[in-house]
Amino acid sequence: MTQNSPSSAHYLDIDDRPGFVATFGQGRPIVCIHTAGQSGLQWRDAIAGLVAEGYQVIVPDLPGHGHSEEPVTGPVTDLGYYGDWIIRLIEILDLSEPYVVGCSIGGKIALDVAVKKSAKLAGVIAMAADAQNNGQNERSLRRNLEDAVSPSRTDRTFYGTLAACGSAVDEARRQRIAARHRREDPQVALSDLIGWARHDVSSGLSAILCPVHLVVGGDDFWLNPEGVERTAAAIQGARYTLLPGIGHYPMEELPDIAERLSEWLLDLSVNGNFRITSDAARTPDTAL
Amino acid sequence: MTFQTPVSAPAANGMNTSLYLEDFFPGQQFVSESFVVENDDLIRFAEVSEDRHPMHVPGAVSGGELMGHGPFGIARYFGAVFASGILAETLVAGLDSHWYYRHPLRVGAQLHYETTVTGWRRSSDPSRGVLHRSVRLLDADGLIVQEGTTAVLVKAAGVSPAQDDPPWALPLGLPWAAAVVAELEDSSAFHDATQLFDGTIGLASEAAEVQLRIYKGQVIDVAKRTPRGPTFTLRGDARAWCDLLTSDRNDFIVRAHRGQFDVSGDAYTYLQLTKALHLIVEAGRAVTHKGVQ
Repeated sequence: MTQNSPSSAHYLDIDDRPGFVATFGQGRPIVCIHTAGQSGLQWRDAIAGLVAEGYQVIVPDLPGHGHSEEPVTGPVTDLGYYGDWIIRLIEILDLSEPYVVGCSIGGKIALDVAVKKSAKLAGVIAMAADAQNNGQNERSLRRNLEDAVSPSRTDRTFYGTLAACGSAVDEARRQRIAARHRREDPQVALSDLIGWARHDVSSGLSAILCPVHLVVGGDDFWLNPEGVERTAAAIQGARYTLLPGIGHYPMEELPDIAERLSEWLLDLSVNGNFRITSDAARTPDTAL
Repeated sequence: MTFQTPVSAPAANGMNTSLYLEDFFPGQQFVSESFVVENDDLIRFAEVSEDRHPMHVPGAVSGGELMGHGPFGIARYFGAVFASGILAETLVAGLDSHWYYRHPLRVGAQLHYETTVTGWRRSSDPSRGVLHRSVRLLDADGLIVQEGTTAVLVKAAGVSPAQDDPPWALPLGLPWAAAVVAELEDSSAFHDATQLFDGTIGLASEAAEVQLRIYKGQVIDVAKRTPRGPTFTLRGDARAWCDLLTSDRNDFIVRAHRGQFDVSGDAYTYLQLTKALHLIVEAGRAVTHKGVQ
């Protein structure tokens, strides 16, 4: 990113709580959604390259994460709330046909936004995410919301993140990613995981009108690549990419993530010819 | 049937290409040539075993699928090992087999065996020892059709006493654990992670078990049994331990998440000691990798 690239930071008032978003560059908007418990910092390595390619990169911190305060009702356990929050953010910033890119819960949130407002989007890239309820034990997750039940949480996050990075990632980068993730608020991160476990947008996939690309790491132990491929198959014309040697955090693990995203975005814009652009199709999306 | 091995066998001198006890190491793998289960195999196995259930007899049931006898899978394994020559001159006796039938043995399926050495220990008679192996019977798509463990008594090349054997030979064995503790002795990270712990960590597989008695950051005893028993025991099968200790990186948490390890006893303390366990595994990997090297 050049020093002359315009950037800005905002506290948006959403549901009576400050929601933080940073924007970088000018051009076609692309909204980048982070993973469970984390913040927009995760997209740091993608920003400069995307700005250089002519995108305006919009990086929010989801409610309860980074600089954004948690909702009045406390940590969020419904990814649908995050989806609605992103839609509100797009409306407030008056973004025209943005791309939405997300990873893990961010990827599922991106799919949620696509299900709700796809005709208003230029496209979606969902990394490390599928559409279904993955059957994780919600009762066990809820039990761990109690601090006394969940000892050594930061150690477990640190070592779990180290292991969740792919085999192609060098040790120094893995350590840096794990140290970054260790900063999470356990209450917020666990609530995110409950949301991940419960949320299912499978039934809405066939109605998605914008181009979609699903990306999964070959070493991602959280996800079965076949499940991600099945999600792609359920979306008209969706693309699917498997990244060998990459784990659950492609935007932090891949040093050339900006180039990869640029290629995928270009592919969506050039080859997304299945997109339904008639006014009739747009009718359900009255506001975004 | 011959075995293909990624490691060099003893020098082929025309006399003996078998491997001795000391030639094996944890993580060492042998892959057999593939074979196809034929109707004739079922007929001959039915003759020998007298198991003539219609599902195993060609033509006995019209329309029903013909399946091989489950024990055919383990029985043929011993033939495959003999044919490979790896133990032809050094096998003393079979000791045990624990075998699981995961999927039907289908006639016409192309199968092969994958053997992973999970460790060895010298017997009280130092001229021989126990070799532990994990065995999988896989089809052409990599599906595990059958799997299990089997131990055999194997001749040793030398007759030195067991205490001279390398500590990496048997993961979770006492010499292995003592070497792990030596690795941790100067670790301030391990000391810090256990500075308020007064208890015992058990590590166990079906092949070995050891307990580390820890007090205020120091391992004060290493034994098969401790007077008050383990605070908790981390248990996985020998193959899971072997894979963890010989893999490219320490992914203990992923493997635990996948259910390859479980814990009995005080699970809360187990979680508290996440970092300490990670460091124990790291030290165990350092010890075990010396054997691989």
